[in-house]
Amino acid sequence: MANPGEALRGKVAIVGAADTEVGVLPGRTPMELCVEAALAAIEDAGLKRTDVDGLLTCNAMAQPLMYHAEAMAEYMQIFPRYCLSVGAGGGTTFSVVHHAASAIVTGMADVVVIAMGDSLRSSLTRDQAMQVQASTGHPQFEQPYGATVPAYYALIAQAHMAEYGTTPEQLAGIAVACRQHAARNPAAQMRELITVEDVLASRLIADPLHLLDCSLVSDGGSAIVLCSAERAADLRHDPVYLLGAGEGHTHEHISAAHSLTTSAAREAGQRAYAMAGLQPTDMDFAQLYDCFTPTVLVELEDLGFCDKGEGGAFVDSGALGPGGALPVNTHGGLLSHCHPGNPGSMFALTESVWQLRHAAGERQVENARCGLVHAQGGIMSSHTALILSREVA
Amino acid sequence: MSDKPLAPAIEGWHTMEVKPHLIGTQCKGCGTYFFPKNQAYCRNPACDSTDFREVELSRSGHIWSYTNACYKPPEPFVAAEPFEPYAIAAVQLEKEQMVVLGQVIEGVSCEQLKVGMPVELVLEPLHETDDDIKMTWKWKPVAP
Repeated sequence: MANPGEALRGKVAIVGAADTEVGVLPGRTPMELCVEAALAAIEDAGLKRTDVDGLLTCNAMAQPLMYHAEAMAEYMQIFPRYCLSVGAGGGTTFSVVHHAASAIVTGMADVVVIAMGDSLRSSLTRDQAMQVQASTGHPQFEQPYGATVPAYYALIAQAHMAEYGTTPEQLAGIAVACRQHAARNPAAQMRELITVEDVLASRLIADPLHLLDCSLVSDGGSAIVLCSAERAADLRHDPVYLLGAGEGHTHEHISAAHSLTTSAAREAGQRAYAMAGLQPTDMDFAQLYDCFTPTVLVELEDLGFCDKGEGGAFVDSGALGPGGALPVNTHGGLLSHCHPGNPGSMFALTESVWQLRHAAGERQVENARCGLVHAQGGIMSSHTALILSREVA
Repeated sequence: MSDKPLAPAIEGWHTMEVKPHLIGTQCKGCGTYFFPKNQAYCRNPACDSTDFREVELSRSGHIWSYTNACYKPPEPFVAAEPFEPYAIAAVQLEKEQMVVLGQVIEGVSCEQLKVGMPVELVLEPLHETDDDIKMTWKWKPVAP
C-alpha cells in the first residue's frame, strides 16, 4: 500500500464530543442543531470558541446554505483559518475526520470542530423526503424509472441472498441487535425491543426490505473537537486517538458498481488497519453504517469481521448485540438511535468517544480499548473507516 | 389506453420496433460499450479515445439482482393511479459487460424472479399525455 499513513497515526485525538437531543424536534432548525452540538462539544473539551481555528460541516438538506461552514462560523462568531463544508452523503462524516487529522498534522489548523445537524423529520414534507430518496439515482437513467434509495439497497440484499443463501431472518437480526443496544440508550429515538418476527411482519418497502430493515428519519445534531495528541494530553477528558483512517470510492450509481456484494469498505478497512497496525480481531466494538440492514451485512464481511458470504451466520451467532463478540452500533445506530440524514454517523463517532472514555453508562462495552467506525455515502459508493483507541501504542 | 400515437418517453434511448434495442455508444478505440450514451471521454482507464459510434445493444441478458417498489416514487416518475407496486431488475448484458436497470413488465412480481434468470427487452406504456402514449423499456422474463 502506497501510504500507510504513518504521519497521521496517533498524532490526533478527539477531545470533545456532544449530541443534541434527537428524534422528532419540531421547530428546531438544522442551523440551531448544528450550532448547539458544536458549542456543547467545545464546552465538553474544556475549550473556548476562540481556541477553534478549524471548522468542517456538511450542508443540511432541510436548510441548504450556499456557504454552510461559513454560516455556522458566523453564527458562532468563530473566525477559523480552515473552514469547509463537504458533501459525500452519509460518508461525509468520517471522510472529514480524515481531512481534519491531516489538516492538524500539516499545521492548517490546531483545533478543528466537526459539526453537523439536519431536520429531515420535522422540516421536510413527505413529498420532499421522497424527492430526497429518489434524487440519489442517475438523473436520467435511474431516477425516471421509479427506483428510490431503499430499492437500490434491496438489490444488494437480493444479490447477497442469491449468492450466499443469506435469509431475510438474518437481515432482520441486524435490526434486532441495534434495537437491543438502543434499549440501553436513553437518548435513542426507538427503544422498544423488537423480534425477528416483528421485522418480517412490518410492511414491505422494497423486497426483501421491510420497514424495520430501514433506518429512521430524524432531527438532530452532533459534533466533535479534534486537536493534536500533544495538546490533548492537557485537556479535560481521556483523549481518543485516531490510529487508523482509510477510504475507498468506487462509483456513484449502483448500476456502475462492479459488484453488489463486495464494496469499497474492503479497501477502506484494509487501509485503516494497515495504518493502525491492528486487525479486525483487535476491535472491541464496531459502529457500522446501517442505513439498511444489508449495508451492515456487507460491511461485516468487507471489514474483515467474518468471511465473505458468512455475514448471515455471523449475525446468527449473536455477536452484534450487547455483550456479544463484536457489539455493533452500541448507541442503536441509524436503525434505532436516529438518522437525520448526512449527519447520521456522527452519532456513531460521539458514541465511540464515550465508549473509549469508559463513560457509556449502562451500554459500556467492558474494557473497550479500540473500536472501528465506518460510514458510507451514496449506494455503497463512498467509504471511510476509522480506528479509534484510548491508547496510542 | 387510447389509439394515440406511440412515442419514446426519452428520445433516442431505444428503438421503437416490436423487438426493441437500447441505443448506446461504443468506444472506437477499445470497444467498451456505454449506456446511457457516452460521447466524450472513454471511461476505460487504459484507453484515451474520444471517438464513439452509436450502437444497438443486446436485447437480452440475465438478472443481476431485483426488487420492487412498494411505494409511489416522486416526480419526475409518472405513476398510475391507484399505484400498483412493480418489480425492478438490474440486468447484465453479457456482450456489453454492463448493467442496465429497468422496470419488469406489468403482471410479473418479485416471487417470479430469480438472480440469473434470462430476460429480454420489450416496450410498455409508461404514461399517456394529451398527444401520445409514452413508451419505455422494460425487462420481460423469457422461458430458458
